[in-house]
Amino acid sequence: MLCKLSISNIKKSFKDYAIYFTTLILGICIFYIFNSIDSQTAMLTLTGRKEDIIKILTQLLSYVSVFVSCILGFLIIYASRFLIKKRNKEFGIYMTLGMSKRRISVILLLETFFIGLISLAIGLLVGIALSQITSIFIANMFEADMTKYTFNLSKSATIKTIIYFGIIYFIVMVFNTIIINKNKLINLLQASKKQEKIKLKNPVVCIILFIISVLMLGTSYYMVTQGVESLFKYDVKILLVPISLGGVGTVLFFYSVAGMLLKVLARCHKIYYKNLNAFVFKQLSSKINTMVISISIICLMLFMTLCLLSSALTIKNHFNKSINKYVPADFELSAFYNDDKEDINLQDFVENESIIKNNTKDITVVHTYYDDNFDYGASLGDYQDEIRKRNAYVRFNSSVEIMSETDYNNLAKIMNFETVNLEKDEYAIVSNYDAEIYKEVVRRNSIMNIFGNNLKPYGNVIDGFLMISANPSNTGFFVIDDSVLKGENKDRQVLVGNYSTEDEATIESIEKKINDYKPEFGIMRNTKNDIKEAAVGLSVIATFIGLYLGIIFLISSSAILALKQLSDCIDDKNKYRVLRQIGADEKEINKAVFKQTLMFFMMPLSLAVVHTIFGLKFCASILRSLGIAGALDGHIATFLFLIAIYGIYFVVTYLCSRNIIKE
Amino acid sequence: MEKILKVENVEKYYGSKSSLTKAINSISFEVEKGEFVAIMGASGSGKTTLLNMISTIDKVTAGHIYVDGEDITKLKGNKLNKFRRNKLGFIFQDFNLLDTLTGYENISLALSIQNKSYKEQKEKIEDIAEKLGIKHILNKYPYQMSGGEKQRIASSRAIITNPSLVLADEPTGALDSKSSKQLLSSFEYLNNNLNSTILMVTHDAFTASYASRVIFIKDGKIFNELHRGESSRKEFFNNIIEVVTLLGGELNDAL
Repeated sequence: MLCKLSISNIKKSFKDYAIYFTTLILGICIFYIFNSIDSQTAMLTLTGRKEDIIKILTQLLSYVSVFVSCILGFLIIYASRFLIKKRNKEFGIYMTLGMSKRRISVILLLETFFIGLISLAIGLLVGIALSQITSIFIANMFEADMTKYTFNLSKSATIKTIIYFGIIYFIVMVFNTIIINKNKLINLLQASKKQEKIKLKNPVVCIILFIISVLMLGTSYYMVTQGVESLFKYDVKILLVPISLGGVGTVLFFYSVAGMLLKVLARCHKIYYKNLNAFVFKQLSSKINTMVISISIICLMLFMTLCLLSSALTIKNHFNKSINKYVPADFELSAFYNDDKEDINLQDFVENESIIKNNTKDITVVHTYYDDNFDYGASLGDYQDEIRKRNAYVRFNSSVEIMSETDYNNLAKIMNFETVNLEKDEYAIVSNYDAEIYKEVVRRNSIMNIFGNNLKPYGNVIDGFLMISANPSNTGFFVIDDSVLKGENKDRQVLVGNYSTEDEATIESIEKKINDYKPEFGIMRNTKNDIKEAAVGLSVIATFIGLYLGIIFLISSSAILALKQLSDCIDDKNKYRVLRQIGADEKEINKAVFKQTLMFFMMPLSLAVVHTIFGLKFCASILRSLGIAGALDGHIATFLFLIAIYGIYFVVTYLCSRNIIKE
Repeated sequence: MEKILKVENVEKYYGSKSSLTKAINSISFEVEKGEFVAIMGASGSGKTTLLNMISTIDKVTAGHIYVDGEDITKLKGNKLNKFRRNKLGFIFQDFNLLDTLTGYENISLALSIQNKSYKEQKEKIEDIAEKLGIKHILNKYPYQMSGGEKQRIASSRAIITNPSLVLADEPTGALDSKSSKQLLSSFEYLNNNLNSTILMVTHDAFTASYASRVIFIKDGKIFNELHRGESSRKEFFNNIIEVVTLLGGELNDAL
């Protein structure tokens, strides 16, 4: 009997449950997809370093999953509490009919069980189906082979999903039982008749709190943007200051705004007393008042989503673009000269290994030199003083590399740089990291004394580098005419080359030879493939974790807002009836619902957007310190993504609300 | 006299062909401008159904209802809302105030729906508050008011738009006797001084005795009709009791 009752209950209230149910399914499906990554087709074909990346990614995702399951757990408990509240009267009637609290708890237990079972089944099915599609996406990122496609099902992810959600549902059951046992019959029966009490907050306190919150937010905004350099100087722990200021500031902001909003709006008589506005504003303010903490959390989650996704997508875009630009050659070896040790000869190494000799082309060897009297400080000319003031921690006495014109032009040919044609009394600067400094030096027409000659600048700073890497990292080297160069102070030799073969096995064995080459004195080696894979690894990890957390944050916050709005609508059905009785048009009423829902959804989003504007600046400076320069170009895609999910929840909530209050 | 309300052979059936319930069985009556009419009847007599049809909340099965000469049984959708907005004022047993709004805001809502300017709203509300003695509760929320105060706010909301007809459904049903008297005096004031036309449904003879005419309904039909005429309220009350006794049974309980 109880079983039948609970099943019919689920069927009956399916409409009210729709949003809850969809969110559950979405949560389960996403949980499965991200936990099954390691067994997806694309991944199975990966080898070597890519495999290592997957291992790291899987490990990271499993840590993140624990966090995600906590968020989903809170969401589900929160949502089920809402739904129980809706049914107080029903439980009250059961109790007047003589049903014991224990049996009601059993009904609820069964209901949770069935809902859990159904949502798990559907969620897993959808997840398994979607994971086939995400495989293609992953293959695209890793440039993996998808020709050997097979349907795949991750046993471990399935079991993990079932266990995690099983635990969540179990906790929900415990919570429900506690709630039911705490309720009194009279409260259950009269729940719907209970009059809402308007808690008025002291306006003076609100204004003071508002000012404090704005100051707190302002301080943390300042710390992560203008003050970011001084922030980096300290321990990482100092980051907790802006984070906690921002968190507490957000809560205080919503608390004070909820208290003041109405006071301010009620002052604008023309707006407040127009159409149903007074009603709309009161509804909104009571909503916000009752969920200050939830709205603050939602705001912070939206903010994190925006920052995470933007940064992740920026990292991804950056590597896609930068690899082609900054790694024009297939491999590179470099060795510093050392006075004490015997010089090594990179050219000989390449010539002596037949497999390298036979399968490579464009081998170019260049040398750099240094001048004891020409350090970094001297290379800045009279711009030095300003730089010293700005960056006290730069080592101004480090040597500057100097290259001959012939060597540089050889390098330029293989790397696709601009070639130069220097006069005897000219120097050129090649730089692509912080190139602004040398640009200013050139602009000032600074005369340099190199190897005892006074040289004047040639053209502008050339965009180029000596070492291939995923990021621009060349702070600058000088190029001078061959005849001016004095060859005694050798700094290092660099060998660059391309493969003449496309056979992967051959390339692999060449790279193995290169990586195994360990002469007495250490050399540095880079291959395009290594750089690419390391970069892809970082971008894949960033993208996946960004997406995973982003989606979970987004659906959690949207679902909380949607559930609150819908359950309020059920509570307020009578209010809309009154509005109809005093003659409000259906159109006006719908407009009132629309305005309410929109403002309710916009409230956390708008502060989150402000947070994000500053947060992204901070993300950009972190990324810059990791060598990922340039604008955050991921934010447009991120906003579209956010608008899509948040927007869908908003529209569905509005339509459902309209449906609920319809007579 | 100008006819505000004309109910013509109105019938209302519930249920299907096999089990038909006639809630209202061919009722006709008229209400003139400035009249204060009470409709009395026991539970289930059809009085609330009748009121619901006049207020366009429910639809008639047959017959016509004219308000200000307009046949309201033919109205649909937003025209219905417009009709309710401009021609009717409602007062309910359970007040139906919006509990998130203050007294003032509850009253102003009826005006702002009609797109009246803030200034006009303010003038009208201050005027009615003065007349009904509710000035001190205008800034209170419903949960801070007594039942009688709530009902007076609801009454103000009902008549603030100068409706052709004020419909009151058991307005004293949830009030104690002192509050009932206060409210009914307000009704008398509205009727006598502001010339409001009031149609009130009640099963309470004392409440009905404040009206100028009482229509008795039994089993969906008009059973009797009493005019107060020149008699005092006390005499009128006694007359009503006589009819109630004639009506028999249940209504006696409500005395």
